Amino acid sequence: MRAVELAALAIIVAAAFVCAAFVLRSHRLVDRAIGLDSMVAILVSGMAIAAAHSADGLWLDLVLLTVVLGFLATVTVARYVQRRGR
Amino acid sequence: MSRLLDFVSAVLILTGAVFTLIAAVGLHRMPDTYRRLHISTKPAVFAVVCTFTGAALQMPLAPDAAKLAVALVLQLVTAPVAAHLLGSIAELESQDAQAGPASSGNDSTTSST
Repeated sequence: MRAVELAALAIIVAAAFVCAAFVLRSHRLVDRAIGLDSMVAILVSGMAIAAAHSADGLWLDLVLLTVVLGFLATVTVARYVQRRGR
Repeated sequence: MSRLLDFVSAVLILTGAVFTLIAAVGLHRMPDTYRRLHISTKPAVFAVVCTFTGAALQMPLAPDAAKLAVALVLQLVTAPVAAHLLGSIAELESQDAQAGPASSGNDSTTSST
């Protein structure tokens, strides 16, 4: 079971690097917002797997906080772009 | 029973990790912003659902699994709203990029580019 969680964490770290490469390579603001939004999803998945690995409840508070913060960050970026001309 | 739960949890966690990698690779391979939006919502949210369910099966205490369930519901509720806002600003930017002809602009189209 430990080996499965470590393998899943390795896959998720690889996915995080791929997503970071997408955020750095894209040119439009919308693409970067999409990349950062899915980066939050990747981060949250990694935190949940780390919680299952260590059986520690502290990770779950971080998971809740990160989900809320990621949503608020996306909404803030969207509102900022929508109000750009005003 | 516990071994069955371990097996189901391992399968769910591995499926979630693989779908996370598929979503990250798909961000590179999709040619359009709207298709990238599809990638960042559907496979990524499915990966989050699989990972959270698999991790909740591993939690020894019931409140920890309940916290994961709350986070899962929160993610499922907020992901369509965020995707809708991102699609809205994608349409706004493509209207700005066209800059002029047949742009039914809602307000002053300053045509920055």
